[in-house]
Amino acid sequence: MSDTGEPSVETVREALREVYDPELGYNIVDLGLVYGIAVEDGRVEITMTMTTPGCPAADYIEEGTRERVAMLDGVHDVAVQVVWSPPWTPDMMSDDAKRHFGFA
Amino acid sequence: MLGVRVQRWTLRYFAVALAALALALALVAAGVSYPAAPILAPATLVTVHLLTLGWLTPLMLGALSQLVPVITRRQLASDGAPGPALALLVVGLGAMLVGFLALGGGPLAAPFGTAADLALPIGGALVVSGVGVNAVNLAVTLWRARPLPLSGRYAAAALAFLAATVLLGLTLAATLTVPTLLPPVLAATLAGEGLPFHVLAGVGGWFTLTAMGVGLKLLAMFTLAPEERGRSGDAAFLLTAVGLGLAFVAGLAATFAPAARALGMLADMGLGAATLGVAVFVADMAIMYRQRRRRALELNARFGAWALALLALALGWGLVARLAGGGMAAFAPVVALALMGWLSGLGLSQLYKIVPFLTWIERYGARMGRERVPRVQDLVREGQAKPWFVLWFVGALVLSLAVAAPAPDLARASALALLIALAGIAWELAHSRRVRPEILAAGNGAGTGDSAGAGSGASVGSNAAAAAAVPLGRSAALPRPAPAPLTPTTKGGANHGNERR
Repeated sequence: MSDTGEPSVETVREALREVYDPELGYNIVDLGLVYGIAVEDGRVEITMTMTTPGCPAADYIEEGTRERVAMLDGVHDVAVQVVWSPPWTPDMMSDDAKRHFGFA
Repeated sequence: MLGVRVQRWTLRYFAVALAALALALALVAAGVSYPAAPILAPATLVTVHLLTLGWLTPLMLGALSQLVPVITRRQLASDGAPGPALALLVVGLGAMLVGFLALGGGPLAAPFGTAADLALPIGGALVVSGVGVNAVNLAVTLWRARPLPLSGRYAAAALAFLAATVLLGLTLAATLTVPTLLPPVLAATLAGEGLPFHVLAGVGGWFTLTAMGVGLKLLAMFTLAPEERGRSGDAAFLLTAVGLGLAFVAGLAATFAPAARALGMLADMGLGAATLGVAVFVADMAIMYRQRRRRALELNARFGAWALALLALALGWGLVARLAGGGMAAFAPVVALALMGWLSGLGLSQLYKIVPFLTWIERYGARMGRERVPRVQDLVREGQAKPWFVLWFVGALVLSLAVAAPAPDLARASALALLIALAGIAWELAHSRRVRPEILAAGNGAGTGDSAGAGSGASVGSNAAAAAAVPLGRSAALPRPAPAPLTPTTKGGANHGNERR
């Protein structure tokens, strides 16, 4: 956390490891779904994607992302932008996730 | 809205489908249906329509009503239509079953007489209405989303065959019950030779094309394999869909004009093309499995491969029967294998994924981020479910062999085995929908544990104490309903996702 009381980018990223893609059962950060995190004056902006466009779980993942970050101390506004470009591929996973799914 | 809404009728379609399948298997196991009874006996007609209109059609419609919006990224043209359509389908099927039993030689022929005969066309009309409402709803959704991806093209072609199947079936039913409806020659030709085309359009077109499209989409998604199949995917689709269409139209026309040999040749060419198309599809799916990034397969993907293997077997068997010039009886075991091994096997194995997924959305989706929630895989017990699926696929194979023999007693025994397997699978599906305190208490401690194969109850349970012990960490500036405890990351919370990493 910074001197201003707002969380660091790394703190936000760590919090998002508690939000999961329910089907894959892995957190959205290590799946590579989080494309960007920006923190400024207590406002957090997250740019992310989904594994499958149109997936019925997409809204819940987006809302879960918003809710989890909003629970952090020092956050008073959260904006989540879901983008489809670049499209997600399994190659975007972290090495840990790739090992988990067996293709590292 | 990013994702599509969960269709509230989907699970009801699946429940109706499973009940009809159980009833059909019970009739075969009781020995009142084919192969213990003649292939056109009233009880056999009841069984066949329970399987096709009661089990597979609601299964496919339920799956498509959920999957077409995912494929097209659009809501269904009407979210409300599938409900009344299901009621029409169920009532209509019930009336049709009564009508079959009222046919000559059936148990209801004497007590109900001609009044019961009316049940068949009335029931058929209701079924056509129910299926038609669904088909139009899905077709409009697909039409608005053109150009369609491969799985969407499969769905569109399947719907065209659904229309052909239902219309031909209705004509056959009307011809049986009201012989004066059509000119005598036309009625006699249809009654004598229409059935194989009804089966071709239904099993080959509607069911198999739907299963190919749904299987392609789901298995690519769940195994992290590329859904885009390139030329082989396009070739499989075009050969199968166009070939079946040609076989249906030219073959049906040839029955009315037996002198036109060109029509017969066209029909044969169509069947050949469709056979090649399905073979290319099976080979391409094998390649897709090899290309997958998720090495450890979950149960639905493992048994999806079994269903594909039985599709390949049915294809080869059918080819041999055709080359040997076998009649309808020679194809009966092939149809049995296609219905029970390929279509039902794929359907049941994918239900094992779809039902828990929809349950997760319904129960836990809105809670994610506020509190710990289980994964989809935490809702199932693959270890307990696996033996039932093995029994199902072995039972389907034995049933086909028993039909081929023919060995009615073995067929009854295998139908009983299938019924037992179905009960086990249904029990496991019900388990996935049960609210279990240990999951609610623990939330998602399991997180990223490999879902394949391992029952996850232990991993969830092992985190229950930790979850309960961790205080809530959240900003006081954002009031909202009090959630269950969630690890405060700002205070160096534990890793909830990676016990097995």
